[in-house]
Amino acid sequence: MKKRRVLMELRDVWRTYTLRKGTEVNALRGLSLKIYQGEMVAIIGPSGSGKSSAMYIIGALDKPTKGKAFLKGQDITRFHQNHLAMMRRREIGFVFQSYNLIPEYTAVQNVWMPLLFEDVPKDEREARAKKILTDLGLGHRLDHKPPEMSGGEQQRVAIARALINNPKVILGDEPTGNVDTKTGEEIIAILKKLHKKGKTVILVTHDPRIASHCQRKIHIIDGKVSQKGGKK
Amino acid sequence: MLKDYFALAVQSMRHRHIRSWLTMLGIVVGVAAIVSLIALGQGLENSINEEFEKIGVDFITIMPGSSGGVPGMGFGAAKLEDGDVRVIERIKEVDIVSPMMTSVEKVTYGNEERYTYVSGMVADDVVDMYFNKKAYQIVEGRVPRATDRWKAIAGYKVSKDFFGKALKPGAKVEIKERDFKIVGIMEEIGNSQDDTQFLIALEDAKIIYDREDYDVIMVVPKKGQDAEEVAEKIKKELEDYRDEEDFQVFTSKQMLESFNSVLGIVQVILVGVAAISLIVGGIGIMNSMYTSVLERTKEIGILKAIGATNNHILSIFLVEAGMMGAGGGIVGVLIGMGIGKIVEIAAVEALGTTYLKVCFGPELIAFSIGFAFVVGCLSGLLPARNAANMDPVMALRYE
Repeated sequence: MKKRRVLMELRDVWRTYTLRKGTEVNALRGLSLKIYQGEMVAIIGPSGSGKSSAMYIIGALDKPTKGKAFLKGQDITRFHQNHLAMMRRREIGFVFQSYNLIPEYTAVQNVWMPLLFEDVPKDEREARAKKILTDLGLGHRLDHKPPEMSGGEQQRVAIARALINNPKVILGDEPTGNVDTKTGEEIIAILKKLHKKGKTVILVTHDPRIASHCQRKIHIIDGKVSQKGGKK
Repeated sequence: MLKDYFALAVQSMRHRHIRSWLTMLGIVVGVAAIVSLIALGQGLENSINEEFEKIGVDFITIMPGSSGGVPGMGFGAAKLEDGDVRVIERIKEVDIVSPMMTSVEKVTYGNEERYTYVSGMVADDVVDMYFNKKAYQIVEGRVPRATDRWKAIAGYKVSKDFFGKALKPGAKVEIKERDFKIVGIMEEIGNSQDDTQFLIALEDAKIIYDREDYDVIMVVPKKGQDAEEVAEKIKKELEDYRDEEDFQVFTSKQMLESFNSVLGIVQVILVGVAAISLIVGGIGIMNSMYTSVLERTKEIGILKAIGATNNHILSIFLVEAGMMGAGGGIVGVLIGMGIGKIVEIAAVEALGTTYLKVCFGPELIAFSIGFAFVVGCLSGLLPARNAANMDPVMALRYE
């Protein structure tokens, strides 16, 4: 087996949330995992397993309470918030279960928002957003706002937004959770195509059928990688 | 890229248009009040200054009564008489000394009665002080003459609608039971007191008023003399003559200055009150922005997830708050200009004064909008910082 490059690594990561009354909850308890460049991997686990907490750290949205997280060999636990924002912008594209589009913006605007933060001029932003949306079959929905679109269309807008900065990683959080089976398959097909084009695709899900599309599955239970599934 | 943030702010404000308008209303009211008050105050000051400039700032006015009161409000036993006039005439720096009697009297024209100011003055002095200098003009008839007896010059309004019918030179009016023939009509001066007055010969005034003392002595210094110095000299001479300082001497410049300073104080108070409403408007923006930040918590989380830094989020909300301020400022300036114009028209209609001419300087407009923008930004600062410092994960999970 050829040696694969590690893109991301979590090393003995703990994440402790302090609740309002001072109670501490350990969502992650020494999670260690590696994501290799160009793979399509599922992070799977029941609700409450800590997979969402893991996703936030993998996505550079959150920092571990203890332990280290590496993205392209850099320890991101030491980065300032604004640096993390830049990493998210350039390296990671998020696709959420509930699409997380901004309802008052059109499809095109939603898609070019990440470029605004890169100071890309308006004409270029619009052109790039329109191209990606058209490639994803949404040429007829460019100026529609999310509430005027179907769930599948909204999720494709979200994928377009995730792709606009040409990131290495697509991070999906139950991306098919809110759509019907047929649309879900279409979404998976798009993600598979992106994987074929060389993107690293990480899907966080509780649904084994979705996970079955991935080459590798990482099972998380009680805030740790479950040994029986993890080393397959 | 700031342009893009403005565009997004406009979009967001449109999305919440009713609340955005209501929020801006606070600023609108404050700015409208400030703009109309300053414009009216400035206009009033300009008209008064203009008026003073017309008749010249070198007049010296002497009135009976002790000083310390408001000019013209001196009452009491002290009287200015011919002796005082002669004392002033002896001062060599003095050119014209014009004693004057003035009183509100019943004037009858046809069978209509009106009460208005009737002033007795020396015809030559009036001509020298006003008409020769082109400060005022006679629009119909002629200027008064030294030989005129039982003749009168009428103010502009008198000739128009003061009485039921128009009054022309040659008409006869009755002032205090004596007949006077109108020989001239003055041009419009702009305040109803001057525009409804009658000017008669001093000799006739003495007869109908049945007194010898004067209400005012007007003095014009010789050319090249400093009015303030001459006024001081008059004061000293009169004091020597009367043994008492029971009279007031002031130059028109001093009058103008004291008028302007009173107007200034009134303006500061009014604008201060208006500024308070602007602060309330700012609090309105702050409140609205806090609500908006809370309501858009999820959106903030999304923007952070797709790579917005704290500064990006701060800019989004700050620009929106600033625009609400500036937007309120622009609307407020327009409304304030409207109010000012309405007051100006109302003043002409109701009070007969053309002194309230509103004056909208470009500085006033620029300052008002700029100030409203700053108020908006300052009010938005805390809510925007709250938004910027939100934890992305918490914001994203917020429902």
